[in-house]
Amino acid sequence: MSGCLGERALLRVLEREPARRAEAHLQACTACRARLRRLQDDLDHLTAVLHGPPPPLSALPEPARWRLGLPALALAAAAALALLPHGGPAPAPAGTPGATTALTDRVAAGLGAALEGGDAPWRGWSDEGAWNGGSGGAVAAEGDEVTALRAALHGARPCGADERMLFAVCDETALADWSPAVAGEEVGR
Amino acid sequence: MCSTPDLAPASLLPPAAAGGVAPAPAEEGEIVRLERAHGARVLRLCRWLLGDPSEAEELRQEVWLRVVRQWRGGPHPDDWRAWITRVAVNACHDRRRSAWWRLGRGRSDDAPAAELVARGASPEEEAAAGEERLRIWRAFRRLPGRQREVFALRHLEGHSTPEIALLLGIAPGSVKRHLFRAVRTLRAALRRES
Repeated sequence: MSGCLGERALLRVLEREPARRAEAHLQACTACRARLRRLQDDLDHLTAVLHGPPPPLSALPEPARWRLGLPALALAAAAALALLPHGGPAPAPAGTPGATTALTDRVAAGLGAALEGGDAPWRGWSDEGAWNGGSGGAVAAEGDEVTALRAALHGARPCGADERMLFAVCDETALADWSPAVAGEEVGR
Repeated sequence: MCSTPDLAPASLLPPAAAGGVAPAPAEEGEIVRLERAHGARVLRLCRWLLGDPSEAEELRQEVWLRVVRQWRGGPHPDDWRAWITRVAVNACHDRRRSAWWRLGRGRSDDAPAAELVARGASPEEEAAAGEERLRIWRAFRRLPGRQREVFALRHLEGHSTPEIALLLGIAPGSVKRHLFRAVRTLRAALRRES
């Protein structure tokens, strides 16, 4: 018969709150009445079984909380693993602070070697004359740029009174945004 | 059936020597009367909701402690049956949630399997009946917590839908939805061939 009641509608009938249409249908449809009786019988049987003694817990599954909880835990563990760094140090991609530091280190090493070789264009930069506007003035300005660049990249701390060195870990230009944490990291390298 | 020690609520009353006020005989009598009326029901409900007999017994004692405190300190509810049921359901709910942190805890087991089947049945009938009961209990235990609560309160405890909505603090429509899902799952377990 068309328009037969679904299980939800039958349950509402058992709960004594059927829709008027469902009641009318039940009076006319023997199949739905039989299904309603079967539902009532099933509920009676379920109730009787559950009122009886439970089986041993070892025969029963864990309550639903574990079934819901384990996938959630697995998902959280996978997410945590994905966030962790893997293995040894990976090559730093271009543009990252690591790559910039490596570049400045290479520049510094090259400049240092040239200085020790005696053919540095800014030779005498650290001499008194160079600071007094001598022939090394332009070179000194270039050196300032390198120092400032290095300081900016490394976040060096401002120099002390007697710390004026070419490749010191301090910055003569006394950067306003110097950060002790970053500077400490640099000094500790 | 498991045999749990019958703990009279009077023994939960704080003794006068421990700094508590000695219960008046009338008061003690009323609490004992409440326990006799609802104690077994609370234990059964806790076992349905938790599935663990020893945890259910613990919670039953917890519930009676709250009853005693409420009797002595708080306003007396109009309907002690509903109040006690609500306290028991909430206690089970809390216990299930806190069980997250007790993953390694062992489970007690005091229900002998031999009691699952009716005496006098043939071995085949016993086996079939035992299998069916196991299937039903498994399905019941696998129900989500809210569905288990609603089914237990409606079909095992006999509360009406509006009462369950009040007890659980949810809408009557939600009660019906949970109930329908629980009934569908349990009927499927009943129909399934072993």
